[in-house]
Amino acid sequence: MYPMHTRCSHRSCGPHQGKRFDHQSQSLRLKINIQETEDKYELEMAVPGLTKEEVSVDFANQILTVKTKPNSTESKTWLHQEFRQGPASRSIQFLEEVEEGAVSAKFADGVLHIVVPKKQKQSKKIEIL
Amino acid sequence: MKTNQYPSFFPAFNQFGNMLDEIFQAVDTAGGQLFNTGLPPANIHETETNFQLELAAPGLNKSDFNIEIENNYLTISCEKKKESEQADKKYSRKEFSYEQFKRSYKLPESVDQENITGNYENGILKLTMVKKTPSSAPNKKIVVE
Repeated sequence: MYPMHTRCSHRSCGPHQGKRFDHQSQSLRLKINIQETEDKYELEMAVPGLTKEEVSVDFANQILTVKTKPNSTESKTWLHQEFRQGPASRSIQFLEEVEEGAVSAKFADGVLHIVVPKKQKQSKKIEIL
Repeated sequence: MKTNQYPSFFPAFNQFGNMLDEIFQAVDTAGGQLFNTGLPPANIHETETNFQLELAAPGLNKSDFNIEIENNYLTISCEKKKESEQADKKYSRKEFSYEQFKRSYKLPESVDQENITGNYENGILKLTMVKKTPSSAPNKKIVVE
């Protein structure tokens, strides 16, 4: 079971569908890897060819949104084209409660690494009187 | 390693202007059976003086690439050794992984094989292949008298 899902209003875009486009924003869809450990989620987003300044990360109401906006407007004519660089985005909704304030992101070699810590479950001990 | 061998053809205008010619021919091999993460995508751009190949393979190091030319085939391969720590990690979703792949291209005759340079920046490997300068004299004009 997936602990979270990518937000999309289209019923056909379940978690197993690898669509190239994010139907909500009509922009290109970023590729993502998700790892889950006991206390956190580790996400990797592929943002090749971009710099830190061209990527924005936003977290609100359990929804993480990553948007990219390439600065270069250079349009090349390709002999052969397998990837496209344009505005892209991806939103992930976390079903389990996470520490929104403790989300951290790091950028290296065209990969955006995001760590989302899970909220510590507080168990309440009941004393027997 | 899973092998996906299929040729794909890149049509381009040849020197005569409007006759289609196959100049790059690709043979690809992708690793990773668990998730269908595919091959790193490549774009090819041609200018008057060179061909530029851009391979989007984020998350690697310059030293992870092995680029060779043999029998007119340019091969870009990568086999990143997995760190023991990484082996324990469980992916609940995996849409990209370029730690093990091989892509080959048949080089067009116009490429000067001694004059290929590459760099890796922000997850994109860029190879610049300079075209040979025409050795023959300019076209001879025949005047009809």
